[in-house]
Amino acid sequence: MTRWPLRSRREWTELRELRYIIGGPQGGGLETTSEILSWAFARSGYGVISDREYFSNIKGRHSYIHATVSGAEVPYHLSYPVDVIAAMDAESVFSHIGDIRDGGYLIYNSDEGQSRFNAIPSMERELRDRLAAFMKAESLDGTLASVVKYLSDARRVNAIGLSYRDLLDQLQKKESVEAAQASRYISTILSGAMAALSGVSRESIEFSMRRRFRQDEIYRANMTMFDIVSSLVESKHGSPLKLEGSTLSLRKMLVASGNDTVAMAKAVAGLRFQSYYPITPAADESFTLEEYERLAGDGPTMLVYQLEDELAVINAAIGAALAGVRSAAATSGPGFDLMVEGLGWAGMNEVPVVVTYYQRGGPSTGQPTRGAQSDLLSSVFASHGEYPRVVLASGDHVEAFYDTIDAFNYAEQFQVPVIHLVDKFLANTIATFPIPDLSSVKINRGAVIKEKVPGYKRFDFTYPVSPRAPLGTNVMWYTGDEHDEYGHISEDSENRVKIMEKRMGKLEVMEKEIPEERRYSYFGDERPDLILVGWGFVKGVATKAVSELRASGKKVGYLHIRTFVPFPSRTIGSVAKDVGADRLVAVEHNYEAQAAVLTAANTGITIGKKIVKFTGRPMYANELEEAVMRVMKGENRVVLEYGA
Amino acid sequence: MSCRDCTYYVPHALYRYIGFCEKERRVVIGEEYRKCGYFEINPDSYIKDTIEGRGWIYCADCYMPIYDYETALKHKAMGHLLTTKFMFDQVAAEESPGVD
Repeated sequence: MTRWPLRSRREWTELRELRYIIGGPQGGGLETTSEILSWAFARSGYGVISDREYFSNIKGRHSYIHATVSGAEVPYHLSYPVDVIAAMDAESVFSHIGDIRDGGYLIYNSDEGQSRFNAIPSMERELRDRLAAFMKAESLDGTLASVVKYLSDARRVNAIGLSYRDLLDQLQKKESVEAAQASRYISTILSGAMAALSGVSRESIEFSMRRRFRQDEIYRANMTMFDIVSSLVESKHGSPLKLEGSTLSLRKMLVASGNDTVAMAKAVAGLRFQSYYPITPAADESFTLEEYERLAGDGPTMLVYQLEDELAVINAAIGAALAGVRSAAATSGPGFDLMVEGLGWAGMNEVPVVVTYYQRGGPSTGQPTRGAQSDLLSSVFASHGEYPRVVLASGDHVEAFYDTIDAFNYAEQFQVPVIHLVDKFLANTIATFPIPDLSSVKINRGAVIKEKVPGYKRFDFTYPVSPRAPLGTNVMWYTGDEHDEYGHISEDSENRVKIMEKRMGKLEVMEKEIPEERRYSYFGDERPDLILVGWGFVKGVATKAVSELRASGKKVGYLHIRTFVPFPSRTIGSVAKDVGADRLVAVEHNYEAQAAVLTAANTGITIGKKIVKFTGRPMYANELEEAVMRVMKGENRVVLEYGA
Repeated sequence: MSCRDCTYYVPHALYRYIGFCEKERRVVIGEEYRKCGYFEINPDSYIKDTIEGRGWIYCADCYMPIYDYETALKHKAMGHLLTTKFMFDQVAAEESPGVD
């Protein structure tokens, strides 16, 4: 509901970045619009990032896509205000009144002019209350028509009212419309209007539609709807939001969600078994992997197994890993909680299993479809007792790809469970990124014994990582109890000391083998006045904020943590020594700033300044820049809240 | 009188302005009356019979099921569309998260 000032830096003759929101009821075609537009912009040579924000009720509640398109850089950030709001329904306009920039464009259904915000059943009470106050303050009568008039008059917004009813009618006169696909045509109304305003070529849309709609009839009807709408909008409004030519030098780009990126990377890493129980926002990865089950054409490439619950999931993944194949489980908070006992078993038995952990808002069911980074401490300390593990956290799609492969390498190299943290923001965001360089991918399966060894000791004390033999090749024992070198139960004190030192000795091995520079990255000035310290999806917005702040003369940097176990202690220690710990600012999607807690635990350095967001919506570049300025002026804790 | 008042009108669950005509087997605009020859209004006993028979009726304008006759009548009086039918939707499954 905040009214944003017109962005003064925008030069309309040289539009470098386009931001838009597409809103509508969950299940009503948003995903299709997002994919069509993302593919079309990418096809035209632009970089895109497209975040999906949705309710957990499955169908009907207000959801939206928030995107940034750029020809100057591959965007990894989102920001407000947006240039366009394209609304499938009246609720989308009411929900985003404050998000559009002065002079922006609003595409809406003119048939709904008399819809009142307080008669929309799917709207949450709190938003309705805020809107009531807004309507009163601006003397509006609460109808969509009054809001559109306000935006046009007071905010110079260009309102493009289209009668969705008439457009559907026109379509029916030209094409046979499949009733069960009715939502598709509504979503194409928005794709058509957006493409016209931004000057996306018909060829790019054709490519995207062909890719999205496999059935000829559906494809043809949607292209007809696209032509009807785009010619109507272009004839009246032109293409005022046409981006200048892309300067990105990428010849080929991938357009994929974080979930799909991890799935692709697992296939590249040689995954042979994945178990899961459906849970948001993890399940999409397993659904994609199911499509890869026969990648090779002849026989199965991998087995993707849906089980009855997460207890079974982790145990099945452990079983597959013991059998000698690369094995993983994918889950999010509530599922991970159920896996914790199994994870401890994997730690006790030195099982190389990977858990891809998609973070969402907790505790309990929490905010199932909203993002968070509040499971860091949970993953670092999960399960009773002590055992070594590796914890990785990805900041963008490219990192997610390579981290996934590293996760399997580390799991097998050190024979430990590896937890790979991905947040919902990354998981559900479609982005363009360079095609990974597969020639640089290395597969390290660690020490494996494939032949029969007389007197084989699965847990040989000689070295912390003893060669593992897949089940069936040698005689070995596995148990949750403490055990000796063979795996037999033992409660002997001397044995306990030896095997604990063997297992925990892996921490030292990992410390030596996992390079410090793999554990973090740094962006910004060499001797900054302020260093933001973050992880996960914060990376994109923080690097953008740092770049904008540097452009305005501020000396700032961003330290991105990518590996939490082992921790980049030396680097953070030396940074804190160089610039002073009081110049570090934790930037995180949780209440406590959990990475700051781990920094203190690992290095003794206290990060006292914090910028946090825990609304479930991603951080936006504009609000982070503003928060950094507030910290520079002396505030120690800033809580961000923006986003519908 | 418009299509949405007709007994053969099946509303879309999300987009209230469109529906499906069971007679013509095609998408129609709810607010229009097309003088099609099939138009028929539900009998007065429809709401009562539906609630007694099924135990519920759905208000397509409020997105909620109604379980008692008096409440249903209030919605009817406000011009809301009460129904037990929805357009078949092949799209929602692809567009919605499948899990929670």
